[in-house]
Amino acid sequence: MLELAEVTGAYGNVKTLFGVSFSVAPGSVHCIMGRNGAGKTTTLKTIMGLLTPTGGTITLNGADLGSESAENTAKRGVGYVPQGRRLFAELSVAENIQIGLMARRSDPATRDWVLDLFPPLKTRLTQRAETLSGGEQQMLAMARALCLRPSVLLLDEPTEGLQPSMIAQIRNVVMKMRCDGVAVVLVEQRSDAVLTMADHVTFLENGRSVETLPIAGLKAAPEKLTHYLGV
Amino acid sequence: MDFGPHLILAILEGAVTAAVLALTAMGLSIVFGVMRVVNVAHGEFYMLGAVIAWWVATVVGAHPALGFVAALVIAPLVVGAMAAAADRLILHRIDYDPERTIVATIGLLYIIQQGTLMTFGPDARPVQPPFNSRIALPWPEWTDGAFAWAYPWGFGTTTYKLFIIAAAAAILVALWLLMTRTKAGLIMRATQQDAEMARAFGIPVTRVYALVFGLGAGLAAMGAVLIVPVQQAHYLMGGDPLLLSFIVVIIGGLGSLPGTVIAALLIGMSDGIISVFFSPTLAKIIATLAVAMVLVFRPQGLLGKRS
Repeated sequence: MLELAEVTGAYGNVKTLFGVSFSVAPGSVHCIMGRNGAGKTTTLKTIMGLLTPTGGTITLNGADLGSESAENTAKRGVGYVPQGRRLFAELSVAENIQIGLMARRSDPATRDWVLDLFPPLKTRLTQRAETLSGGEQQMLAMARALCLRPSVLLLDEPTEGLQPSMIAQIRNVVMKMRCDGVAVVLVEQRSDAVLTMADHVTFLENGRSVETLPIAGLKAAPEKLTHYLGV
Repeated sequence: MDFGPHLILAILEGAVTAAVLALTAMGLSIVFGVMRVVNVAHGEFYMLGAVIAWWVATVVGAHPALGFVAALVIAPLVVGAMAAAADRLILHRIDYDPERTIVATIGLLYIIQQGTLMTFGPDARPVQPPFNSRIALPWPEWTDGAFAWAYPWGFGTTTYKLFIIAAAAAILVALWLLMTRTKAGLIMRATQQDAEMARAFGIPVTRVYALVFGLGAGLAAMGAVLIVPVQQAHYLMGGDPLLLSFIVVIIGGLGSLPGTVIAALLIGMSDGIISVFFSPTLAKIIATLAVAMVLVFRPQGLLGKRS
């Protein structure tokens, strides 16, 4: 169980998080929504250890995660798919996957497993990551994170700029991870994707979590999307 | 001596300069490429390599070859360890901030240089080459209506100079294999491209930086150990290699390892040839002019990427 309680954080001297709280159970998808600048990406980076929280607690299965470095957070099984993919662009597909495998000393079977999840990558192994299409790059970003065999998967706008068939493929993998017991934290702007993937939604406003509700609650009150997102 | 043999000699001298320069500049290029640190103290690590080589060779005594081999192993390791320590004690503490690292490495330059002056002294000191046989080179001459091989007086080189070229080439191949065929190389390349994402995938970036800074300094030290039987160790010997390394790295493209090798060959060969035919000062002037031309017409360097 991943739990955030009143987490505050900052980029340098600029405070960006003023109290974010939610929890994600294994085998569930928890979506974070909010307007631009609400603190969604900052929240994921803070969970990942790329930003140090200035207050509050982040725990994974009861153990403190907030004071861990990003290296140790990865080794504890938190996989991160950042916004914009941020692949190691000049490395090959195989090398990007190898970087993911090295983090937790995963076995070669894990490599086969992630390639089975994203079959188009099998024919691109020697190609430089920067030469892939947008959809293939997103697959590689997810494959790299899944090489950690994560218990928590942080996804920052994974469907951004993708065509519908690719979005469906990403959704299938997210659903499969949920079935495998992974706790998925999803930052997403597309409400249709949220309604089909998420179990719970937390809305952020100005760096603060203002409401968390189950997806059924959001479906029953769709005006909340308009209220919190302005759409 | 005729122009032909004279030119061959100049090319050989240039090849020796290029070989050592390629090693030294490669160290600077790796450090900048992975860490984005402009290491102004790089020439002092080169100088330390030469001074430690002299010290090791003196302590070992015995046959010059034994002292030289010991120096070739020990000096780069010691210099690399000192650089890694400097990284942890200085660069890491200022968070690798580009401006502050330049100032910090200028400070490091003076600390190393003056520390060496206080301990090693102001004198230049020689290291015996492990072997140094003279090889007379043949030159074809047209006599009595046919070509015949002649051995013009003064047209030759030494086995040690040929060894410098071969050893530098072997070290560069080993470095290329390290960077492209090993896990350590993969980690360095990933860190070079995106240090934050490298951290998010469990790569201990702080340790990688210390290793890379040590590796860069170690390469400079290797270049110095190779050349010190020809040029002698002196506490001010780091200036020229630093200048030429910056010239090479700028011309080759910041952080581009193949570009660095090509530029080292160009600058090293031209330095050797122009020094033989004209003067070393003119060689430096032309190299500096080449940098200016590159900065104006191709600021990313020969093989660098446009940012």
